Amino acid sequence: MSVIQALLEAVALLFTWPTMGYVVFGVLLGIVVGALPGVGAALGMAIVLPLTLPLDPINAIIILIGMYSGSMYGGSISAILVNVPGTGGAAATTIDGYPMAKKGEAVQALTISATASAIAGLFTVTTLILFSPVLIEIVLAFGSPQYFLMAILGLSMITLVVRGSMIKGLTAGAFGLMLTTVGIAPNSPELRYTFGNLGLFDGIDFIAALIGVFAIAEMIKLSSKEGGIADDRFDMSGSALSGVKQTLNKPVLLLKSGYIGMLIGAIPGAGATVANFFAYGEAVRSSKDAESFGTGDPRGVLAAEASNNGMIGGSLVPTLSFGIPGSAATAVLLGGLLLHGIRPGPDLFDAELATTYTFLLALLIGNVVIFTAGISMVSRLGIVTRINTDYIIPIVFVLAIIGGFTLSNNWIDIWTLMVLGIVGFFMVKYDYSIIAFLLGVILGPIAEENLMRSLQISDGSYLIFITQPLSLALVIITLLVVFGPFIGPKVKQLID
Amino acid sequence: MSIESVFRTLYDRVNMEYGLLFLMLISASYMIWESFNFRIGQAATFPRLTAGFVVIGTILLLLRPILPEPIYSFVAKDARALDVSEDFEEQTREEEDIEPDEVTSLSTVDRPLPDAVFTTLAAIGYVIGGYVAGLFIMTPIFVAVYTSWFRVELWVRGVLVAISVAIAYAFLTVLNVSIDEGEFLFTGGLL
Repeated sequence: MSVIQALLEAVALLFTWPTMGYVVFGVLLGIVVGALPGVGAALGMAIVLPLTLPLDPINAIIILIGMYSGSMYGGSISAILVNVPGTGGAAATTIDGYPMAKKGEAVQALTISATASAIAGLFTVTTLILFSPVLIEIVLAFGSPQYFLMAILGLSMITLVVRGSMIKGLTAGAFGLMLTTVGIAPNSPELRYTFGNLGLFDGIDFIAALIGVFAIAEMIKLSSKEGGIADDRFDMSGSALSGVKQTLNKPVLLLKSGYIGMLIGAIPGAGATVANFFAYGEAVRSSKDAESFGTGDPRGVLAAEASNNGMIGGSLVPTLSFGIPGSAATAVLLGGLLLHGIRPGPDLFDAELATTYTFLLALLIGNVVIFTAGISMVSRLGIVTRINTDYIIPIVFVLAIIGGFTLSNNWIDIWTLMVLGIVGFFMVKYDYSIIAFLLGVILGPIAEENLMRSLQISDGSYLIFITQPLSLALVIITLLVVFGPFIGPKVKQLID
Repeated sequence: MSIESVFRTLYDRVNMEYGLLFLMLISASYMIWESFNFRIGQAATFPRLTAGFVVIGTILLLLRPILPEPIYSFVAKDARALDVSEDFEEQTREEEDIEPDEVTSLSTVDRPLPDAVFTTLAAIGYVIGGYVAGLFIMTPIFVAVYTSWFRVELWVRGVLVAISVAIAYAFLTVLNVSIDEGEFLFTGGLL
């Protein structure tokens, strides 16, 4: 299928009813969950995931992508109004957004956030669509050995960008991979670790694991904090038009921050939080009056918000092409893709190219929705941040547990959800990467299948992973990622 | 001895990270041992590789305090390549982490159990109750108990219970999920 043909097919798919309605619904829902501190994109998407089961795959994924995009803007609402970012991706927004609100410029700050988010999102997704033919060539060069190695590289890279020691991250990832070996083995009829329980024959459901780790663990964590969120209430003053003008008057900063977000988003595990602070740091560094940042400088809000929506397009690259999520929210999105039978990889850039373009175009339209909703509802957005967490927690539990049961009417899923929720709580507490763990759970079956297929091709020889140039390059990069941070300084010392 | 002081003593004496590591180590060791009973050898490759890695990783982490210097750095130190400023680090830590004391601190609503412990127990109770009598009937009970414990205003409790019943009913009717059936009670369905 040619690129143009696929694009036209995607346009035809997207601009139909109810698909367009799902784009708008997803974005608005994302804005609400993003604005609720403690909820955020990944948790909101994880809860909605089972509810998408009756929908057709494209509409289901469009809702999730819309939520992902909307939540990035939503996160800035609580960051600006109550100094608590709704998502990690809006953490840097608090630095100038909250002082702006204190100065009586809350509307302006929220408008800058909406405009910067929308424009950066539009540009980065358009860039992604334009560069997709190059990406297609790269993805199609990958075979089974390379996909297995990409899974290992993805896990290794996540441990580089998350907090805590690398061994903790790698062990968490391996633990996730290990859990996926429960059930019938791929390519053979061997039953593994099922204890004769029929409910375990299909293995551990990764959606149950996602809901457990994001919803249950997060809610246990959130319950130990004070219930009220918004103690400060501002008059929603300031000019929306002025906010739009201020954003448009800084095109270089806007695009630079958006593209920084896009590049960082493409690094597995880096996610919106890192992108947010990198772009903010760069805005401060390149400014002639850096001291004004932190006191309510609109450029701070602009840079931070442009980067987190720019990050979305970037994070979809490894997710759709190799099945390696760029962030926690894309881990859930990946779960959604697999749940609906859409497998990341070459097919999405070949036979299913129109589907991929539909998702990207939905993101483009989603940015228009963010701008429209952000401008039109700016004076009422603060209401969401005043919802007490004690009201949210029991409802999230109900949605998570009944939603988990919906997956296959199977109590094993509920026990999985609870056990992994509690394990996830302690993993977060002791700095074990839950993203690496979930990546292991999601990638396990794909990694094992590609490993077994590669070994079948090579008659059981592991040399297949180093004899092809692309495989060898991936092995070398993985080794550099794992050992680089420790060997690098020592090599530098020797040279000096 | 009050319940609070029991939790405080347990928290001071038991490091749950070791509990987490032992859980991983025991399950990985079992998986390796069990893989030798597989009839098809090929099916054991991936479990052994992953479980083997978990065993090595957990042993290194358990032995952290006694490891010699070069290995200690590799095992214990933060290796992030993409780092952010110290201020940011502190800020995100405040937002994302539970400080050790939070878990065992006095309840925020003046109850005898720490909030996180009560939430965990309530959720487990919800699931066990749901298993016995069905999730449909347990849903409003769970929400009522949870909101009462956290001293939510009475009218909000009523609203939240009503919302939870609406959610459960929607799952039951729209998605056709049999949450009104328990394994021991209401086995034929409540509705």
